[in-house]
Amino acid sequence: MKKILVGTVFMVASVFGLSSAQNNMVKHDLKINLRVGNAPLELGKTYKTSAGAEYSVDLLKFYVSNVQLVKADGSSHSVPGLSLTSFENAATNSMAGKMLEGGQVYNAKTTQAQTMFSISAPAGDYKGVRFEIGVPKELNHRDASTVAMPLGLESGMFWAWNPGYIFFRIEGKTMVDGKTQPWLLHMGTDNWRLNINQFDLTTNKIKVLVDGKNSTTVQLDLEKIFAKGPNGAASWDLSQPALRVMHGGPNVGQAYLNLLGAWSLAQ
Amino acid sequence: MQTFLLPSRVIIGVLLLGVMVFAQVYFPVLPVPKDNPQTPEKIQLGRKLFYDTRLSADDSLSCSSCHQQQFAFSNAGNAVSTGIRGQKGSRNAPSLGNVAWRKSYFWEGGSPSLELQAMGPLTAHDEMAIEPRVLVAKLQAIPEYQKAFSRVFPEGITMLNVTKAIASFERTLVTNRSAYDKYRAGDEKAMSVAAVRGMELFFGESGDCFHCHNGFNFTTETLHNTGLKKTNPDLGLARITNRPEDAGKFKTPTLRNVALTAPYMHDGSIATLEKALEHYNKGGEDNPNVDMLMRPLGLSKTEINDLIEFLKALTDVEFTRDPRFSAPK
Ligand code: HEC
Ligand code: HEC
Repeated sequence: MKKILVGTVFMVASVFGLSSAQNNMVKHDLKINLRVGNAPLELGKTYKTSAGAEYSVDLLKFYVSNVQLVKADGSSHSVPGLSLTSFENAATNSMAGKMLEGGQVYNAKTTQAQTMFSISAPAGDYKGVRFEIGVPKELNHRDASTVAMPLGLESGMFWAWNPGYIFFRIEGKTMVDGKTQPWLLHMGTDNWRLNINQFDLTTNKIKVLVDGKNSTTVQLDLEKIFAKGPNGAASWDLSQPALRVMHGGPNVGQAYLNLLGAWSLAQ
Repeated sequence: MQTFLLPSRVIIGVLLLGVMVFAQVYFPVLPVPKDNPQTPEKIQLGRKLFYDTRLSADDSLSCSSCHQQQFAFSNAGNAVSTGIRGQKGSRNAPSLGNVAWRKSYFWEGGSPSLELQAMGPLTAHDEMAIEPRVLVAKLQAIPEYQKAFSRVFPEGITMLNVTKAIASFERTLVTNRSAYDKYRAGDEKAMSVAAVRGMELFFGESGDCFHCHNGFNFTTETLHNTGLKKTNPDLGLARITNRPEDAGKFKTPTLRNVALTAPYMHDGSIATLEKALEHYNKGGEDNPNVDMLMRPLGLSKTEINDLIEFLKALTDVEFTRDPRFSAPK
């Protein structure tokens, strides 16, 4: 049983590898810009939420899976594979920038135009892209001690108290009563897999040209994580312990909704 | 002389065999995963790791900081534990006595094995807070660990092997030498008269403890809401299932060595055994998810004292002093 599990993960990776060898398949990178409002995110820099709380971001890691290129007729081309992208502040993490073994793991050096998923697909003019931030359900509940990267224990995304992975992990600091405190959001479980849709079939506003030369860049505006507070609150109160440290529970539900609205396509 | 000695050796042998057979029926065989067999070298490596503060981000904490041998590997005296840089957690650290036999780990039972459980404290921001690959690199830079790991694991130092070694050590933390165990083995004087009365209450319908705290390790491994509070600020099982009816359900803890591990419950909110018994005698608070078994028991003061005497008879002092489990020299 355990052998089969390892085999399947390996196959996902090798299908990915093989398909690029086929003639009509070309490479196309899915890239990301991390923003705070309109500005590029600087790891470790202090920002303010709309409610006025100071915060910084030291680490952001997330899985991308279920990538699809959407065609003009509404059908889509699925790209197999799973990647883990990681942004880490070198000042707080001596290992930042080091690649992990196996799998597709991207350790970003800056927060702009970093590859988060390498697409291999038939060349063409697509109407957009969709993907999930998370680990597919069929991979999310296996014995983490028997699977390879990017799902192995070294990923730092395994959730020991819950059989499954953290899909989206962000950590940083905030000030509470003049004292520096950590803040963090660990979002996961099958309910909270983010489904990001960036396509448009009716107008020609979105173009994803897969020709082996171009790439597609999406933007994630981290300010939006704090867009709304739970239970209808107008803002996110980082001074509350339950809104500062989140590993599941109803507050993650609001963060999830906020995050759904934080993605856009960079033009 | 020879002829006299031989039979007595046989007798001792037969007696020992008898004790072993008895012990096996009473304590089930130690569960060991096929892919992580127990070996003396691995156990020693795990013991070293368990006591090594270099496993935390700032070298301040080891597993043993919160799981202390003298308190049966609990964090007695602390309602909740304090992790690195003074970060307070939200839960009480359970005893690790007989932890090998537990069916699941953490208070809501979300972790299936000791190997995977260890990832929790190592990486939690309010415990040891270390990134797996930082830890691996840190250990790789220590020649002693390089040697020890390569002797035990062909792949050397990996995160999985760190957790495998620690889990192997944890599996050796067997506690089975309490007064109650001696009583069960036939020493009728091992427990006081009051403790024996308490035992009868415990295993009878009037105390009704055995419905959840049953078996050699005093837990059925099931999760219950015992009406600790009127609301469920800690979601417990619902954190995993997202079902409102699971809010406030926690794994039934072992009661072995419970006299050494105060304060009690998942949040450390009950300070003493007397208060714990008061809680049960009252039937718990009026919580929407409270277990059907929780009801006013109508126990008298003497009965409560007897129950406490029985719980004290579950203390295994030898376990708390056993040199095999202490910090390696
Ligand atoms: C900062 C204090 C702290 C440190 C350090 C710590 N633990 Fe714990 N441990 C806890 C707390 C608190 C819990 C209960 C957590 C929960 O259920 O959410 C716990 C739970 C456990 C459990 C689950 C027991 C059960 O019956 O469910 C095991 C096993 C365990 N710890 C082993 C370890 C190991 C191994 C290490 C070192 C790698 C370690 N702990 C380090 C505080 C700590
Ligand atoms: C319905 C199942 C159930 C019954 C019946 C029950 N318990 Fe418990 N017990 C639990 C659970 C579950 C916990 C942990 C609750 C929590 O932390 O919220 C617990 C915790 C405890 C603790 C604290 C242990 C620790 O390490 O924190 C003690 C002591 C205890 N029980 C004693 C008893 C006694 C004595 C009785 C009989 C009078 C009894 N229990 C009956 C399920 C039960």
